[in-house]
Amino acid sequence: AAAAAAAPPRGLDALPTALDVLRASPDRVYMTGSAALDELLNGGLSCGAVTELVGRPSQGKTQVCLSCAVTAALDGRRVLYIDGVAGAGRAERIAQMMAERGGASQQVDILTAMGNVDLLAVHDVWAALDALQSLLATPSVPYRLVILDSVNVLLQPLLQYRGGGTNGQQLIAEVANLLRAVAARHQLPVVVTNGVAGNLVGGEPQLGTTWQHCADARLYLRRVMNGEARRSAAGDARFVDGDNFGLSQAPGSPTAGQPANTFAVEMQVVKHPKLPVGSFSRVFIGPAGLV
Amino acid sequence: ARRKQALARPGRRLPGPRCPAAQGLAMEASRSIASLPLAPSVAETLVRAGFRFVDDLRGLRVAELSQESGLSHADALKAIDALSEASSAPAGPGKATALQAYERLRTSTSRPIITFCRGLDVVLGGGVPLGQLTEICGPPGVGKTQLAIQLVLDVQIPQAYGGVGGRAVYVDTEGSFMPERAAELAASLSQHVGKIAANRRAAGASAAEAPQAPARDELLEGVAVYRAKDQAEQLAVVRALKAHLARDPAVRLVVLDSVAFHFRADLADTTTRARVLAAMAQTLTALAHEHGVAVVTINQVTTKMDRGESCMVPALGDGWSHGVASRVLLYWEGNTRCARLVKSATRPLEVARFRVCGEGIRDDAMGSGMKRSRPDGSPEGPPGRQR
Repeated sequence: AAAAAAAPPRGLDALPTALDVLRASPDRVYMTGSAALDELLNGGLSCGAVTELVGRPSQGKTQVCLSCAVTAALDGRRVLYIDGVAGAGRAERIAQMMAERGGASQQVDILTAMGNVDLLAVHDVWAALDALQSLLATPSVPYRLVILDSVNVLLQPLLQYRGGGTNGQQLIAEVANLLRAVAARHQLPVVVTNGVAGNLVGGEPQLGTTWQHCADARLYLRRVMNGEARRSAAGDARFVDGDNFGLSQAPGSPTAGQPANTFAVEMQVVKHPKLPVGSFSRVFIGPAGLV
Repeated sequence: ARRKQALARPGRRLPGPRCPAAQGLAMEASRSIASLPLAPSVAETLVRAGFRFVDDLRGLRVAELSQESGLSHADALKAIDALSEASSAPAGPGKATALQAYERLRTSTSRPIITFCRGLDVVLGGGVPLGQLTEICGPPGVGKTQLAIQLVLDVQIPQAYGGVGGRAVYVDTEGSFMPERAAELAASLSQHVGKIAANRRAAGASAAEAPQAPARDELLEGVAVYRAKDQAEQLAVVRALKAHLARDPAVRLVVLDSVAFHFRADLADTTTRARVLAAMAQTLTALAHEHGVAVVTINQVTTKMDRGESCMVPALGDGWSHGVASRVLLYWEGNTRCARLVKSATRPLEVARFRVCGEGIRDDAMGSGMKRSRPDGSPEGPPGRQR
């Protein structure tokens, strides 16, 4: 009888209950380092989950990603940054952000910090898939954060929409599965940026319905101009980069009081397993990244 | 079932060293066939024949695979090649730490290409950077082609005079390349560099420090001009650029003027257009990175109405816009031409004023931009608000 009691549970008895899971592994969150963003996410990015940043061109998605990477690197954590748009050019912006932050506070070892960011420049989705696959195959990776920027730029050239588009969908699903698997396997937060396509007034996140199931959390980014999320009346024709509502920074805008070259971005929760959908927060992005 | 038979066949090669059993790992996550760069028809045939994972292809010879799956010999060979490429690539061959990438950027002797407008050079961080794709967009007549012609000549300034000392390729889709105007700019550039050379030699500089200024004809010979008359030709030229750059490694600048012209009328199939444009952006960016050349694409702008006001948006839509890392907008402000950096990986977004004159693109002193006039002689005012 004692032997039977000591035997481990088998079959259906071996399935853990929700309480067991709660006790065994409390949900870990990864703090991004930006107070506003962490508050919006109620703590930070969820580890083991994929967070997607969507927005029109030039809204600040890449800047948010770089800022999170820099915060992690300065803390001594290693980051994998897969970049499909500008590649190795990101190194200069990373160095800038680190220099700006280090200047304000105590002496920061920028060289060590820059060694903490593994910057992988990819020019097609196959290279990105190779990298993700090798992450999955390795039993333990040194990274605490994985960022993929940007998935629509990598996939767009390969998507064919013909009556359902079977082949493109397979590839999208493959990328989605790999990202989720990497996040779950290594209990990392994975951040991925996606674009929005459409007309001036509104638009849909790219890559369609197959992709939208990938991310556990989705944040919509939009630049804010002159205190309004709507553009104020202009005297003459203004330039709009995507949803940007004009780019002339008038003095007396809400970023006055912030360092020069700072702009405000409104981030809205569009999908999240735990937070209410629709909650939003305003963050500022300056030379040092997320302020 | 056919696959199981194949596995049971005697004489089959043992699994390679990456087999989980050999490594003693727990179940390795299986990589699906869809993640290999294969033609969709080939991938479909493989999946139908029962090969779902990359591991299923390991150890098979071409003839075996062809027989098993029903692929042609050539397709089976492609599949096996894709597999071996994928397996041989270690974890991120292009991976470098940000530190290594940054040091590579700092120590590379590649200067940016100056525009001759000091304000614009400052905004760009020295000039148009090499190794990147930069887009220049703006309304018609603001000076995009003028700036492009200035750049294909400026790239040839010898390194001794602070230039890049390279050649250029000009891909003309609109027919807007004016050889007479290029000759004018080349003559004035040659004169300008000649003066610097003379001053240096007078000050006692050696021949290496003050080489002969390039003559006008030399400058014009340093630009290869491709004329692309329709979409297909434009795509073909973009593909052929790789071969051109391999043949002529002195090329440091590729200008595509304009990328939008052949694609704007094609409103019928916008999703295909988005895909083709995204592929083009990716090809051009990869070209810039791999060969260390500056790629400049000239784009038009389109006007969109928003709540009764007009505003300018770069043409070609978001499929193109997302793939561009750096964008400069040229526009009119009153009578002055302005250049604003509207998207950049590294620089703050600032404005510079410039003017177009006989010698080319130059700085604009405050408010003294050249007045434009319409063909009928009446002066053209600032772009008015359209309702």
